[in-house]
Amino acid sequence: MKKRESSSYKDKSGFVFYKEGKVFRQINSCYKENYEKLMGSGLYESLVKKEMLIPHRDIQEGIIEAEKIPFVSYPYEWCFSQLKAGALLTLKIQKIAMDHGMSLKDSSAYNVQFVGTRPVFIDTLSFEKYEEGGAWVAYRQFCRHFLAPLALMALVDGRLGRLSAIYLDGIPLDLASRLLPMKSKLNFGTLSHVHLNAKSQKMKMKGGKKYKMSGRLLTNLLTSLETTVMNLEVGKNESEWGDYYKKTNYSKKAFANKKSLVKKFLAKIESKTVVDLGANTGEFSVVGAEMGAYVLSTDYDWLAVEKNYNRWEGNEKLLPLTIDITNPSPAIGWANEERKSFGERTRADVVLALALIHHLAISNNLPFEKIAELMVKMARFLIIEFVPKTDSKVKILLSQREDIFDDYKQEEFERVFGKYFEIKESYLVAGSKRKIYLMKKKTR
Amino acid sequence: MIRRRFCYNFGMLIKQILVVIVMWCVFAKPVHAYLDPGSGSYLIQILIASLVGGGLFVKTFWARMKGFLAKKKNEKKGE
Repeated sequence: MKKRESSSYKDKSGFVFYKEGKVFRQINSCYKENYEKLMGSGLYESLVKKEMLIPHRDIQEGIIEAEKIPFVSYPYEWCFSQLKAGALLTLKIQKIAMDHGMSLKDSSAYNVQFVGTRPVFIDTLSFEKYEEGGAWVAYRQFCRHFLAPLALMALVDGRLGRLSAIYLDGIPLDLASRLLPMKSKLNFGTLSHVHLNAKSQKMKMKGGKKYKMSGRLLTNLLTSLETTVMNLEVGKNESEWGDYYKKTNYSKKAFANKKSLVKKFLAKIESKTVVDLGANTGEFSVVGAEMGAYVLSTDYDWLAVEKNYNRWEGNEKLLPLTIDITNPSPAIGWANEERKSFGERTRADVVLALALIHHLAISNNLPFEKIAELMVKMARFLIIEFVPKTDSKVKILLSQREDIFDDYKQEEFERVFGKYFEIKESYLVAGSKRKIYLMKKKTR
Repeated sequence: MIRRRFCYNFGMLIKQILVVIVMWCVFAKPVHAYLDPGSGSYLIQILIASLVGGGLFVKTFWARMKGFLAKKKNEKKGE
């Protein structure tokens, strides 16, 4: 069965469709000339060699099969450095394209995907012939999709990356301009590409007049964008979880024991895909990645994800993502079909839920029943840690509120989860009061 | 030390003058004629790119100038 990708409708050059789990792209006749130029000019080869563009193979006239991305993620799920890497990749590709007489006709952040921590450009049909004198048609889109959110994250607050989920075609520049602090007006890059660019949106030019932009000017523009992006850095301020492992109450022995238990369980399942919920900086995700699984290393805290990404940069098996499991990414866009929800995209062999249950059950008042229901939807296996009330971290959570959690007990946890899963094994983590379980989904 | 400070101020001054020129261009009154909303993005690109080019030119010019002066000074010392 051929199924067309619901977000692939804007570009008349072609569209993406799926068949038998494979990804194909149809190339319409109006794009044929550009496609031939992409392949013939050496641009495709050059970009694929550098691992910047997704490779594909010709299936038949007008149809190509693209290499499949292990997990499709969206810009509002990326940390600052991921978005920055995507921005720099787009600019680099534009520069290389110009050397081959081509140019990017759009610079949507959705054209970038991640294979682990490596960004890759996926829209093979984004290249068009470059004619000297033309401006960069994708300039404003680049500013909205990349520069504005990056500037907001760097200069206002790291959490503003989530704003991209509201504005599907990038953050409106006038909004970014209003939100950015005064110091952004003292920087040439942000002043021109965000503030002046926003003002110029209202500016109308005399019709019929052609504006020419030489190739050298266009290169200047790209260099300026590159410098602006490069100079943006996220603040040194610490978020709640950013230095979690320094504050943890685990002894070295318990930590090592917990790691070996996770490894032991993962080895038994032969897992290809793992979803780590509350992964922090990926300490346990990497165990799965090292064993060959593709790991979605999720956390709701932006700085933890930022650290996770920078820590494992170069690892193509570990994908850090900002996901709040109590409020995961919804389905958005036209007919709620353009960008899929996190739940719809996530089917894994194993869910890792370490040091998480107390945050869900106590901080978020979630009954065990609801937690188990979600986990059983996501994977066939579950590796979960139970953190009892006697644990110092749970004591801290309860010290700030009334204890209304009579059911928060190990026996009750096992009874409820036992309805959905078969408890295969469980061990106490040495030197702690916590217990780790390996569970298998019950077939009904 | 004094010379260095002068270099910095000169660079800043040039930058500021250029920024003012751009501001003046951008905020100039719109022309009353047939209006094409897309071309705004074109013009801003050209303006910014020209400024970057201008900045680069000033930078290179200044570096060359300094190199030239330093050479002269060394030659004098050598004599």
